[in-house]
Amino acid sequence: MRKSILLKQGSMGAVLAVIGVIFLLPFIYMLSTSFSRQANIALPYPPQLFPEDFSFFNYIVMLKSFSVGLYYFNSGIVTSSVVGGVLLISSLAGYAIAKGSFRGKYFIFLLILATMMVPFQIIVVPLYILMLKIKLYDTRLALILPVMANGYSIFLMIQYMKSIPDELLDAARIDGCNEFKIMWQIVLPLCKPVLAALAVLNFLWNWNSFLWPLIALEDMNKFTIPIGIAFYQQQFSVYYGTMMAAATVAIIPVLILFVLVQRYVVRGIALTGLKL
Amino acid sequence: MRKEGHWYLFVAPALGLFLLFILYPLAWNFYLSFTKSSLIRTTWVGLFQYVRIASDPTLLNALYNTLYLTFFNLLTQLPLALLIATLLNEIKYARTPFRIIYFLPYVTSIVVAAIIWTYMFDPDEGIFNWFLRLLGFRGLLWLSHPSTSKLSVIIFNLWHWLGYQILIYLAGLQTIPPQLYEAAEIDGANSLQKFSKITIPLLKPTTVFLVITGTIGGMQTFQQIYMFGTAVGNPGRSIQTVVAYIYESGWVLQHFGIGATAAVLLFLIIMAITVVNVKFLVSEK
Repeated sequence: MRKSILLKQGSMGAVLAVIGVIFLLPFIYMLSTSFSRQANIALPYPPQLFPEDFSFFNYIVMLKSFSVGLYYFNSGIVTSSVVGGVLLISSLAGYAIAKGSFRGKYFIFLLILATMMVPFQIIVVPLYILMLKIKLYDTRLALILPVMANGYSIFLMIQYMKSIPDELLDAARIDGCNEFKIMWQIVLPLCKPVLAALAVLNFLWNWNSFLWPLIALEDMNKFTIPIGIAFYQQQFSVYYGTMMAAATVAIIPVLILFVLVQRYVVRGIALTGLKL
Repeated sequence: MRKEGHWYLFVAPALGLFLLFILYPLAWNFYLSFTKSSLIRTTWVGLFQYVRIASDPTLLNALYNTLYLTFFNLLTQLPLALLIATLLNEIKYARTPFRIIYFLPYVTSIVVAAIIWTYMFDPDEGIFNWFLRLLGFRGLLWLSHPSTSKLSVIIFNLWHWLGYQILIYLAGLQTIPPQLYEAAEIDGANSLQKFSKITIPLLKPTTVFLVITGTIGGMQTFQQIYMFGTAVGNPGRSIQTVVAYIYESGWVLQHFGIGATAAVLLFLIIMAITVVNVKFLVSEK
């Protein structure tokens, strides 16, 4: 009996490991090609796990032609502004709807739900014209402002804040705290898990965002990483090794960051699944 | 209760941004669909744009491609995700490392991943054809020919999305009470029967959720299309999606009215899917 359980567990592990290798294959291919000297001219064929002609040549060429530092800087500014904005705006609106009482509250709640059904792709044409008119086209603000109010994030804040007992807030009200102070000093510290999940999720969505930055930006000095590397690929796609080196520096830091904070991603995604 | 006025200050930032950057553009988008619009001039043309896109083979092709890719993505992704999630749920060791590895593609930028996959799909020196030749088959043309380009995108999407679906299924599996399986075992049910009579029916809400999010996500496909085959979805428009069509209409051809009209069409499709879903869920309860 025990032997058969061991056998079953072992074979399941083997199957999962093989699947894992398939998932990792593109990353392995990227890394090994980026360190192959000949990959500058042709893809190594047959593919090699450890390149025989190991060299940093592709990285040297890439660093001279690809402004990776600048793109990281731009992505960093835009994404951190969005995440900060989303957390603040969602906390404020979430608190008012979860714990406040005022006319039109239900209507506003429905409105927030409705915005979740409007994918960004649907409104890119008028949004682009709007940005031209209000002179925000080709600015970082054009990337930041439209995504700062996020219906999904507000919805999750509402759901989470509803679970906080009213007695806690009433006690503070008797002590004469105003609502903002109550939210800031009592409610938000209790919301740390959902705030962390939302920070990670919004980081992810915006860091990898592509269509809107592609439309809203023209100045290369403001390009974020996805736009920067797409533009780079148009010129360098025949330099396989160099492109793979660029891909490596574009994603490896993010993947490491993900492994460090994956608990929060998993929690956030699980919340998504419980949405219905 | 004290005065309620200050609550409006709490919701004001969110409402202001929603009105300016979602609802106003949405209304404007409908208006644009009834006009002929370049950035300089806008003239009212009524339903002309709708008539035009309804008979535009390029748009119909993009719509077909979008639905085709979405359908086959779900058909390949969901069963595989459920299978892998079941294995993960039953394994007693190394669950977290496996879960992290499976999830890496989902957090990787699609743009960057598409660059890597373009080389993997290379017909001459790519890793896929190397493997096929190793097994004694002839290599495929993958992204270089319309007959295999959709297949290539479906495989890419499978790799990118599967980790997300595994995670959601895993969360669903963990809500199933183990007593159900124990009771079934006492009644002499085998693994397959337990899977088909307990797991699949109890995971129906999860599956519905994944079908909805997958369909809506599929309707929005753009990044990998742009990277694999530019805005027109080469080879021969075989992978152009509706969003790529919107982008091409506006930012390649400068026909913003056409882009807006296609966006309205996409919006209606997504709304219809959402409504069908809500009805389905309501009838369940």
